[in-house]
Amino acid sequence: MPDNKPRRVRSRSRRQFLKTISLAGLAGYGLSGRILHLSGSPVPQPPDGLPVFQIIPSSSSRINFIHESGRSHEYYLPETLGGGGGFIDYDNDGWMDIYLVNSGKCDFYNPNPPLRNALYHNNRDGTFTDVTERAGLAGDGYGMGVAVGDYDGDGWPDLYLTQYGRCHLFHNNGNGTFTDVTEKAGVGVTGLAASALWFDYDNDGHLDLFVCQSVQFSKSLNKFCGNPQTGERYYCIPSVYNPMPSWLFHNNGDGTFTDVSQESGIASAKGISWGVVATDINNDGLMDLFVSNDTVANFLFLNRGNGNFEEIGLQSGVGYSADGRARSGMGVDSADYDQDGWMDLFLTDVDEEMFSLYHNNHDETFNDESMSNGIAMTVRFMSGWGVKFLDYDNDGNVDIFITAGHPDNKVSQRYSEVHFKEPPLLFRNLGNGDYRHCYVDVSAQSGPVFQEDFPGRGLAIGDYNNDGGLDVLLIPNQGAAMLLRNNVGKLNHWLGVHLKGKVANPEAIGATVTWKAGDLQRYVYKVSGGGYLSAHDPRLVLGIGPRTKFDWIEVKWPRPSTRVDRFTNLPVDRYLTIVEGEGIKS
Amino acid sequence: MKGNRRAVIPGLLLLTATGAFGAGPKQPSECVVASEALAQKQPRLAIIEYNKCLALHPPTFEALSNLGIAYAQLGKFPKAIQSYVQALSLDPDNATVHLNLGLAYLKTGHSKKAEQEFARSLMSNPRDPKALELLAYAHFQMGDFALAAYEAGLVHQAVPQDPSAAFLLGSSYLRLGMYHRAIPLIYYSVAHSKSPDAYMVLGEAFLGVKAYRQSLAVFQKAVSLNPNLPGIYADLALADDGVGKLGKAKAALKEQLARDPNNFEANYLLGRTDRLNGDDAEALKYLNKANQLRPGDASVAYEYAVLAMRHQDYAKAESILRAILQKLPGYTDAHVLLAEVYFRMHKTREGMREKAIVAALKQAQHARIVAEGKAVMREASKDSNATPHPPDQ
Repeated sequence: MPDNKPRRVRSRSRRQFLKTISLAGLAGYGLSGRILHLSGSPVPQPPDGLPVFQIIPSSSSRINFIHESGRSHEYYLPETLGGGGGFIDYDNDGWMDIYLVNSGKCDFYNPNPPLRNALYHNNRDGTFTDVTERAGLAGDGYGMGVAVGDYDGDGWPDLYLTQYGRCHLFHNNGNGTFTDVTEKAGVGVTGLAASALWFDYDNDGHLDLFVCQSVQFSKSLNKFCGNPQTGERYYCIPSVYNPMPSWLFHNNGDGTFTDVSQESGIASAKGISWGVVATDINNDGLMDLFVSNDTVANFLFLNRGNGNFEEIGLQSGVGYSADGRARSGMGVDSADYDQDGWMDLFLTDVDEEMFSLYHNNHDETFNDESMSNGIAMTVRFMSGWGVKFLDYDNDGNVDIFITAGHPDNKVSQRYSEVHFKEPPLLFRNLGNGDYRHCYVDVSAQSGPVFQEDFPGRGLAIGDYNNDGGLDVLLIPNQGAAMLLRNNVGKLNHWLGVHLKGKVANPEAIGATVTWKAGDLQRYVYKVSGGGYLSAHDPRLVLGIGPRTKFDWIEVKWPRPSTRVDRFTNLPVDRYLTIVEGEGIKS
Repeated sequence: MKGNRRAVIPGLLLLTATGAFGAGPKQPSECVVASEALAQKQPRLAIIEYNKCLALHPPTFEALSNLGIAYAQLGKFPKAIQSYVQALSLDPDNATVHLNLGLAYLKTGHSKKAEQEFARSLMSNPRDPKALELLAYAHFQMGDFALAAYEAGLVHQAVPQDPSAAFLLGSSYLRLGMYHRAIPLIYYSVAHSKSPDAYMVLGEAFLGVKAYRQSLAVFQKAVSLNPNLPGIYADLALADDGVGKLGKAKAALKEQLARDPNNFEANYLLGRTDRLNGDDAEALKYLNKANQLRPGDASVAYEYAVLAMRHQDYAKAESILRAILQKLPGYTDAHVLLAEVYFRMHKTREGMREKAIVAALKQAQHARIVAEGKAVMREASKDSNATPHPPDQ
């Protein structure tokens, strides 16, 4: 535990240390403190002194969205949960538009003037135009998050809006407008819903819908948490409310859905669910669900086929911390970060619980390698929400972006090292193939945004300027949405692919893309969801570092498709659309 | 927090001997001399004279009671207990002697017997706050912190200016994880006593609320007042760690061991530190020592179990966890780990059984939280529920 370990260069003391040990009741195990600057490409830096991730001011982007939580003296739980949003190319012009969710009217909040969600059209020049009213996506309630997917296969991405109150499904009419089809579709979840995602759990080629439900909550059920003597309130730990089962809707293929929560086994597990990612942890071609729970064990719903899910969080080692404790699970994501052919998982939670990087043992179990990778101790006092695996520098290795902030806005009054507002984090994957020691915290070298304190919640990944560098959209609680432009992705070479399923589900969720460029071979599995309350760019960006050409790429389409397509003579540094059975279209 | 597993009452509660000094008019001369010696704080002389008196004359309540006090003043508690018991055979309801007998039992580590004597004293003199305070202290020593807090709370209500009652109440809150209630009480006590022990306990309360900088300052003050305060360097290590001074933290733990190689906390924490740091050989060195100091300690055993799991020695982990659960069947975290162990061993049925136990325990915990209206903050909940250690045995 020497003091001379590499340290992040930061201005504030609480971020000035890389923890290598834990003394005060911390969870986790493993080899810590190995923040090693191992072999691998150096941290890329953009020319002209630009930061790696650059905050785009609203004066430039014309995104003037401010999330208002309606924070009150009653400390209603939903106030500290938002906001969410994400990327959606609603007009199919090949440029990512942005949808942002606000906290409108509900039983405890009646904002005046009314608040609304916002759809921003991408003008392809770095600016956006608010087209909410025309699109009909202003919303009517206390919004939480969003899931984007073409549920009816008409080629236009639809939008599912989660809310406290009642969720809505908006069908994309293909002309810049949307129609609320919640009733007809039968997906009007009520209560306090959080993240949602589209995936094809039964491999019938139609996108089904999963919706996280947290606790049983309403204005009348709101509890007093705080100091009864002084009357000072805090946000309650959600465990004072009753946990609830989440929702699974089967897509009937005719614009309607059937609630299969009970018969699928999803509803048998009551949780306080915030985040969800659909992935395939055992390579059986059936998509599983990793669901974060707050103060309750996380769920890993293993898809056993025939519409049945088995909850194996505890069995698999991802339900609890390494010390056997349920944590405050917030955001989740999945990727094969060490390229061993098996999907790994990531979980964010609150301070002193330390985030988990779950490495897949290939037998439906996982080991937490957050400590060995130096992530756990770096985030010891931090509380994470949105998280996403992404290859921000296009070197072919999967990095991690996290947004953070403790849920209680008064927490610092009680715990000096813990903060409501915290800066985001960026961990870079060295690509050394050592799953225990491949991540390095590069936040300090990656731009001023990583010195900015704000109550992070939603985080969406997408390339809004189509330069191949995955940009980041941050949606804080009670604050202005922040668009971060990636200035380094384009310094390496890449190919963006937009997969469109025909027999497979329209978004090709569950597809595997493998690529080879000289000495580099990588693959990516297309997950759905991930993060927190957010929707991400559906396109996959395949990085090849300094190599200048792809030898080939191979697309394995998800079931029911049996196709595997291989492409050669590919261009670089541009986006392609690949349609199942039809090849490269553009 | 790990720190508050220590005994936190540093011996502020020293009752003045309140025996019957008053010599009756018909006392033999030896007894008169003895009583005068006791009054003049000459316990050795008092013992000699009382023994003479008792050898020459029939035993009286006063002589036996005061002889007990004289022994107690010299720290000869077994003899004091003998004398008090004899005195009570002559006056079974005497509240003062029950109180002194209880104190003597406390001093000899017999908290349960002490509790009984304080309770009897209270029955004879229900309005005596000192008896209630001592009863609270006995309950504190017995590990019943809720009861101790209740009783100390009554005393504090009756005598709010009494720093020892405030200290006891604050310490009880501390052990219950109610740090925010503890801090002002202990602070009050510190302001009056300025004792290094009180500073140390205040620091532990600050640790409980993760106010690491404050705890560090208070611990440093305690060290400046008494560098030999038992366990202070282990506390300093926790504070140093909290503010990110990891090298200092480990150095403090080593300092603690240099001063007292048998300090359980320092050995345990260094073992845990090294385990988290991946240095299993070093971890085992310290954990083994901690285990030697407190054989069968569940928190040390838990570390062994986690280490065994890491090394995929599931059979070993299973046997350790089962032993822990035999002692602490309601220890949810251990059930979780045992379930994981069973699943990794492909003992699905046993794993499912443990999983069901976990679910039942969690459900009960949730029901308790809801029923008690324990609408707490996230951090407070973690303080009370998330220590990696089972309760003290």
